[in-house]
Amino acid sequence: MTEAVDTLLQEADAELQRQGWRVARDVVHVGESPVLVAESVAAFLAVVANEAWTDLERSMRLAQAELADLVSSHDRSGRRWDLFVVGLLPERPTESETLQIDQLEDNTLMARKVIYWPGRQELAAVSADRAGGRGAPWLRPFMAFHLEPVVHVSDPLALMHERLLARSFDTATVERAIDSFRERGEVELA
Amino acid sequence: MTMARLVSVEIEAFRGFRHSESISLDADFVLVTGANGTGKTCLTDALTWGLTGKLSHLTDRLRQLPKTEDHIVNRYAAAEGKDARVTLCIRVRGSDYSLTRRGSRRGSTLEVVDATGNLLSKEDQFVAELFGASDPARLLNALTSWGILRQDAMQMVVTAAPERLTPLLAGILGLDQLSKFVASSRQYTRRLNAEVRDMTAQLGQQRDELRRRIEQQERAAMAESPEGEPALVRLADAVRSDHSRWLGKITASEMLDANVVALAGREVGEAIEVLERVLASIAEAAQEEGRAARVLAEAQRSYRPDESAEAKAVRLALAVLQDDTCPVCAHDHPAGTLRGLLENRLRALSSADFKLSPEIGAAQRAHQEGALRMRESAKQRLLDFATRTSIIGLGAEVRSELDRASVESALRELSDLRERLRELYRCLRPAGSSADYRAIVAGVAAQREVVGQVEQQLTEGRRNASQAKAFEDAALEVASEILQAALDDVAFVFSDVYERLSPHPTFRSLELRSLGSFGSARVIPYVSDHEHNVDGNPTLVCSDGQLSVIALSLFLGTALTTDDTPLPFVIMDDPMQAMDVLNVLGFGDLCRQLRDQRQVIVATHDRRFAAILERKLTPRDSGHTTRRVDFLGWSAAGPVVETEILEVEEVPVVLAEAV
Repeated sequence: MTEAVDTLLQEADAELQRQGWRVARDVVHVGESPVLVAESVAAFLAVVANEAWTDLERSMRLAQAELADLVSSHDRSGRRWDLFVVGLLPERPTESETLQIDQLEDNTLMARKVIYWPGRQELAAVSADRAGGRGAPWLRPFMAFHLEPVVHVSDPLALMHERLLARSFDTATVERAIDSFRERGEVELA
Repeated sequence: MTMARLVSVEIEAFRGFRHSESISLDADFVLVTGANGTGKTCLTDALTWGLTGKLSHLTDRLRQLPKTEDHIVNRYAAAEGKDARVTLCIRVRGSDYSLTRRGSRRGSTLEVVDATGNLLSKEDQFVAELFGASDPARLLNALTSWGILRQDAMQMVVTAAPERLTPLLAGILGLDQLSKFVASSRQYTRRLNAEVRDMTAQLGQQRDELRRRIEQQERAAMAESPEGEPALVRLADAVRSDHSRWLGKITASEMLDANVVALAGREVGEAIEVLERVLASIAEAAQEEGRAARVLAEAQRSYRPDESAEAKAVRLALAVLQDDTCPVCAHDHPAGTLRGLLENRLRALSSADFKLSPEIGAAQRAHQEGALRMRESAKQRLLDFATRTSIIGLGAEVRSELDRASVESALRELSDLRERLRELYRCLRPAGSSADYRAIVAGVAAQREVVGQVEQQLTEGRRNASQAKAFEDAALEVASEILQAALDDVAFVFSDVYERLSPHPTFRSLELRSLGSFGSARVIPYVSDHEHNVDGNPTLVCSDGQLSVIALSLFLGTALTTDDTPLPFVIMDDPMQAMDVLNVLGFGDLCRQLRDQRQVIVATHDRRFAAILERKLTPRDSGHTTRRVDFLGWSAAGPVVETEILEVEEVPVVLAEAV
């Protein structure tokens, strides 16, 4: 196991525990590849990581079988149908591999498959700070909504006033426009 | 958010429901199942009507129908004379309220009672405030925008996004004032532009008036000033000398009389008209002659009569004529005369031969006679005019054959003369007293002042309009910036919902962008592939199924973002109709998280998807409740409905045991 793969799994372990999942490392074995298994009241998760897609594809297939076997022998609830196998790659795969990945993700037999590599499924609109509190992107389907209070502009017209001044409009013109709009709902410049 | 929940609904004589049917909704997740047409949508309609008294999506359909049509009352119940009734039981902050609405298309009444049956209100305002809305209109807007997602409105959420989403999000983010400010700025610019247009038109009129007055002044100056008199005389003399042959009867002094000049001008004008008509007649006569010639030529080409014996003899004589001796009679004659005689005779004989074809002859004669008549008529018209006009020389233009070139030449000269006479008349006409002249000069000065004022106003108006346009553009830009910044603050909610459903293999992120276009800040959804730095408008790059997911993301994102009338529930009517299994699995996981935020009511006709949702949403702890409402069928009596509360499914701790 390379350092990159090990780092991925350590991060996944920490993240899952932080999100309230019960995590175990040595319950399921797929050859030399380590497997993380996690459980919540809603679902089971197997997380595997490999350097190459071909290895990961094999690991995921085996991990899925092992996970299904483990769950079906211990749990008769509907939760046994909520299995997820997450595959982590440290590098971006090739285009042809991406097609195989899409096909694997579309295959929902036995378990849902989610494959993640850095750069995939990033939330561009979310700042780094906010994204930091939201966990790894591949965990999103299993996470609760983190709804933060809506940031309201308390007085949008005051903001408009400030920004128009910054655009070199003279104070009198801007004030006349804002004041007339506040008073009569109509913009007047002169 | 107000802690509220829909507990139950009782429906009678409303849409698909004929007899009274009570349906419990008391759960944080309610799964409504049933085949199409069993009444699932009537349930959502009942909730909307019960809370607001309106079903606007159906009211639109009534517009073209007779007033007797009713979209509220069940058809069978209407025949029994019943009105519709919907009773909603809601729980707000631990207290139960019962809302009963009765009515039809014509209107409805409302009663709100508490758990003990005490009447609390009959006003819609009370219901609005119960849900945290300031007025019934806001409650209706909240219900139709982020409370209830109708199945027929799914696609519209995306396709009409800029129009619907912009005011919606601007309102949610408290920025609707900005949209109004930009709109008002635009209105102001339009008003100033309209004023500029009016002023431009006014300036044109004032300039025309100034031009007219200046001309008047110049003419008056010519007559008034010491230099003006000789100049006039020179002009009059020039007119007289240039065209003396036409105006021989006008003396030099008469030439300075405006009335005489005007009369001469009218006569010249009349002469021009006559000559134009004569010219037209000459042209028509020439055409007739041309036709006659063509008839003759055609006849000569096609008609070959046997030559008479005399004609043959004359032709022979012409052929053998060599000197002054006649080859017929053997007398001596000058050869030229003889040849001429023989040729004339041959023509006469040939012409006689053509008389053998009466039709051709008649046609040829008709054309010739027509031409002659036209020429004669034109000639007569010209002669008649020449005898009664004071313009001389017209008669001289009448030659025996009416010479076209001469008539054209006369026409040109007379046209030229008319122009000169007009010029002379303009100079002579305003000549008056000095007082008049001073008044004219004063009028020009006053008009110059008016033009100057209007020009100044126009310059100022243009400056103001230009400033207003710059202000409007800046206001739009600022509004877009502020809106975008606010959107960035909430965008992750929309994108979070979208990414949980993950409908597209590469466009894995949903964004909302504020674009200042068409004079207003508009919010437009985009899907993005950040890995390859590519994006696209969903309506152009997504399939119908993917669009449904985007619609759902926009709907739920709005519901989760708003704190303007945050409803305690989200109701989705068949949201999975265009989804594939993967989306439905994602939707199930989404609902699992959503139920902690809102009461979730989902209706579906698809049994497989219903089974997936039921499995995923079965409660695993006592903190959650799931209810199934099955619409088993529909008859004239109404739908057959069964409800079931799903039991909590205990799950063992597997990993601890396995370890």
